[in-house]
Amino acid sequence: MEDLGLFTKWLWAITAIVQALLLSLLVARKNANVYPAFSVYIFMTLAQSGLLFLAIRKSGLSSPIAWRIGLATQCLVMGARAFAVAELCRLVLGRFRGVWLLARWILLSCGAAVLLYALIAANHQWRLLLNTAELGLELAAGAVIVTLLLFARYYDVIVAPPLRLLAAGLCLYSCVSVLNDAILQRWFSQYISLWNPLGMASFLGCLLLWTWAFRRAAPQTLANPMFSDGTVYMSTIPAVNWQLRSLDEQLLKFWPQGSSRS
Amino acid sequence: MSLILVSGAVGLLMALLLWALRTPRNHSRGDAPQLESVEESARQHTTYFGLIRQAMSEEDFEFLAAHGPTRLVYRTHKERQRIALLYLENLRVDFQRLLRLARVIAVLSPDIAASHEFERLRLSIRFSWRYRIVLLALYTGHLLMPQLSGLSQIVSELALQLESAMQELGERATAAAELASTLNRSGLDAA
Repeated sequence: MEDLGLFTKWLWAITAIVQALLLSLLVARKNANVYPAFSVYIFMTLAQSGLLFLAIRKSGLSSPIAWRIGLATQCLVMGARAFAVAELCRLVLGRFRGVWLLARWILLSCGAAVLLYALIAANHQWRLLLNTAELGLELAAGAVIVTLLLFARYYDVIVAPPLRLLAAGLCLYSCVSVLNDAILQRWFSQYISLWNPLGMASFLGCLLLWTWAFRRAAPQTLANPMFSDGTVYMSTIPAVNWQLRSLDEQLLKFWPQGSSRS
Repeated sequence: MSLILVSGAVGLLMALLLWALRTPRNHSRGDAPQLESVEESARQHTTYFGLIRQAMSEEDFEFLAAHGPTRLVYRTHKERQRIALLYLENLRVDFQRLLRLARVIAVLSPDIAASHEFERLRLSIRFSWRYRIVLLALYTGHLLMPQLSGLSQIVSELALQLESAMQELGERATAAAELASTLNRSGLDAA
């Protein structure tokens, strides 16, 4: 454990305490029922901390066994994180059936496109395979969360405060992780000593944000919005679009020659 | 991936995140869009178009130009420009309210068509862009006034259609509330 450094050790200990506190809050306030994937994600990060602590204490920071445990648990944590992001999307838009059907395909395509681009653009640095995969996944998660919030804003869907803080924390952590990983890829040997403490510090910040968000119990059942059948939409919206198109064309007629200046 | 590209992408994501998390000024409390906030109708400005058209009468202006003093003509021109700008701004407010109403219908509908949604998004972006250009041209005195008539008529028609749709939705809401109440009384969880 000596090669970890005092600052990292303290950061690790504080992070573990806040993780345990958040997990307790999620369970005690019955928020785990509403946010099961997020609760599993926090549990897995706590379990990862514990396993890594034991492995490093027993075999040392640079031992193959610690590296393997780190790799395996990180894959699981990244998977759990992806599920937590999917859960966030469902909680924000899932109750609005029509919009949700449209949004989920857009969010999936957006996430897949960003992930694919990040992996292709990584120049096959196999030495940093996990790092590259993490960078791609985090960038995709950030893009999905931002698209989700833009979607909600466009459709005037108000995102409840715990969900806003959850989304903000997930997105901020993704952004910091992407930058952290990108700098590591560029200056591996110079940056490796800073990479871990910076990643841990940003995660601790997000944990505090989430702890604040889940300090109170979330409503267990949310009121369903009023649903009409598809006929209102199908009879109104095409006409609205036609009117908008006409209105748009009217704006063009403001000009003496009727030419577009936009 | 280059560090500059990654930093740019992260910067863009952060900026969009902050913008998306900002609480909109016109939002009421609650998590679903509120019909009442948009239902107060949109026709309030467009109905004044008759008066506006009268104030913008070309004959009146020509008569004034021929018989009135130059200072009065100049003042009238400025006033007409001011009225037109105010009217156009109010039209935009009406237009935004109607767009919001259309979005509420989309949110409350179980099935929506991606093509219609994308088309409306595209049209509203284009309208917003063109509106700004029209406004700028009005400020600089390069616009023809009679075309405001067509604009007003279209907004009015749109308002009428949406009002009838909202009435239908209101009736359905009442029916849904009654059904939910019956289910609750029967001990079933409708949520």
